[in-house]
Amino acid sequence: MESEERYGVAVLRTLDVELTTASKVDVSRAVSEGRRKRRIRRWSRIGACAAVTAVALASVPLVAGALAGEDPSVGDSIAATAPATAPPPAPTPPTACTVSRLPIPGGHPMALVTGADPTGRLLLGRAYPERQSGAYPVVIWDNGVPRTVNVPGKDQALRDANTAGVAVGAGWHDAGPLPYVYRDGKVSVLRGVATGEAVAINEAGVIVGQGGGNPDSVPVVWRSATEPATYLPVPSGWTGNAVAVSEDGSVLALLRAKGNKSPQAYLWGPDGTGRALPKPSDGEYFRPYSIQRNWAYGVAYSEELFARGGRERSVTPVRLDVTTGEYTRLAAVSMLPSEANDSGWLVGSTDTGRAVLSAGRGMLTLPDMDNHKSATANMASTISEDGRVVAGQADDADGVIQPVVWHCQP
Amino acid sequence: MRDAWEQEYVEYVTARLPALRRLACLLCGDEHRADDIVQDAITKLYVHWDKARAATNVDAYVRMVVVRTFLDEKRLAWSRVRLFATTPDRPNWVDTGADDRTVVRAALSGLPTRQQAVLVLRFLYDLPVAEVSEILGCSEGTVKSQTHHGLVALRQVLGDRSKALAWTE
Repeated sequence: MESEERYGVAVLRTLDVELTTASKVDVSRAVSEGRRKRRIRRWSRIGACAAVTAVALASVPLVAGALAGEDPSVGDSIAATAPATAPPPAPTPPTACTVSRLPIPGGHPMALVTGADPTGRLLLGRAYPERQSGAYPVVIWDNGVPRTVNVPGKDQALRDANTAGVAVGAGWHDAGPLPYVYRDGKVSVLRGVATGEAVAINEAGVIVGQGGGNPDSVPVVWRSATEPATYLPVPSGWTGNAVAVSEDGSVLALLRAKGNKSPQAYLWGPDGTGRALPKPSDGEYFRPYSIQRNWAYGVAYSEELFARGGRERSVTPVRLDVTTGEYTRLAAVSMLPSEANDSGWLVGSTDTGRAVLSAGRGMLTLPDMDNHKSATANMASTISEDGRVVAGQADDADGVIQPVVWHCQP
Repeated sequence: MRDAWEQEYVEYVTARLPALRRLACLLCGDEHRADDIVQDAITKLYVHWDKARAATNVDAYVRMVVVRTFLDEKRLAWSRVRLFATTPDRPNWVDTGADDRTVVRAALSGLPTRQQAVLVLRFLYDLPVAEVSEILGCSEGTVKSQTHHGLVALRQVLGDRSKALAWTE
């Protein structure tokens, strides 16, 4: 067992003792209270469904099953009607990278990178004050120069930005998370959801995220920073969260499907038509991370291991051609990918604490900032479109997480 | 039909109560609060019972409801929304004479709520990063970094005691 993990088990184990008091939990009260809430929910659902239907009819031809509440069968909806587009001519893959530490404003000891724009000019992150309160100063580095952005709430983060400098994210409040957009130096709440989070934005300014609280969140799209959210149609009873938005406005999400033991990757095309994406194989499910043109990138997980709560040793980075439904297994080397760029190059981390980049020909291990004593010592989180800028986090000599950027050359 | 549906719920919840209370207690560190969390979680579970019973892994689904109730409850300034009259004592901050459990609990409760949940789920429940990210609704990268931050913070707070605890492994 890796030493950090052994430490965690040893320390946390001291908490595991038998309960000494008699239960005060009242199951019959849960039933009567639950009945009341189901009645209220049924009525509010009717209102919400009517709204979704109206939006859907106005704009897109929907899969009939989705609105009728039938679970669309997985995979067989993927017809090879359009020929697969060839991958775009890729820039020359990087062969050497250097690491440098990003400055942390405000004298805080620790910070990390949470997102970036497609060029890598803007890096998003957050700092961790000495005294943890759950609230973090959010940081944007512009060409390496940091400035602090006041995103309200706790556990705040900006997750994505476009080259115009519009960034999106969320902060947690008493009632749940609120989705935020940062533009022109100001942070404002995205409209149209009582609670929710924004996770990605494309060059056209289309923002995706989810509305609603746990465990009932549903993917939403904001067509612009000023428009209210539109709920994406999901099959009845399904919930989940958006993962990414492509340049053509397709939305990739991970849904928790009724009756399925593992999560289901789902894609809405630019016309709003949604469909379940096929599985990598029998016994595996697809956990997507990003979408570029007709390729969705992510990892294939063993469903059985997931259901049993096993270790994630079977992770395989994969690329799915969403047009043909065909999967390509990517790196032979074990890697937990964080992001892919337009050329299909992946960045992520290994379980030996190294940050890595895969640009089609094997893996490039990025230099440690200091060491890789811990399994999470160096992690690459973002990669620019030209593959020249990779950003993430790395432990310093004292094991304190620092925000870092790797500059790469062919 | 309705009766059978409800009966199934009652049987499931009754059978799982000890496990649910244990999970809630490990998360919040207080048996009374744990009961509040479980009461709230099983009410939510009733509302979502259609979805829960359809899940192949019902236990994993219910675990998610309990953890998310814990996280939500922490945001709601729990002392104001208590269901029961008795007010439990909050654990005291590190007392040099206290046993390991009290010290670790105090250290843990000083961390941000989601870090607490990540540490409990990863190291007491031995759940994989993928399932923890599923439960908390965040990326695996976040789970990994939260795990790391949480352990670093625990090491700092526990100081020398940290070495003694890890040594017993």
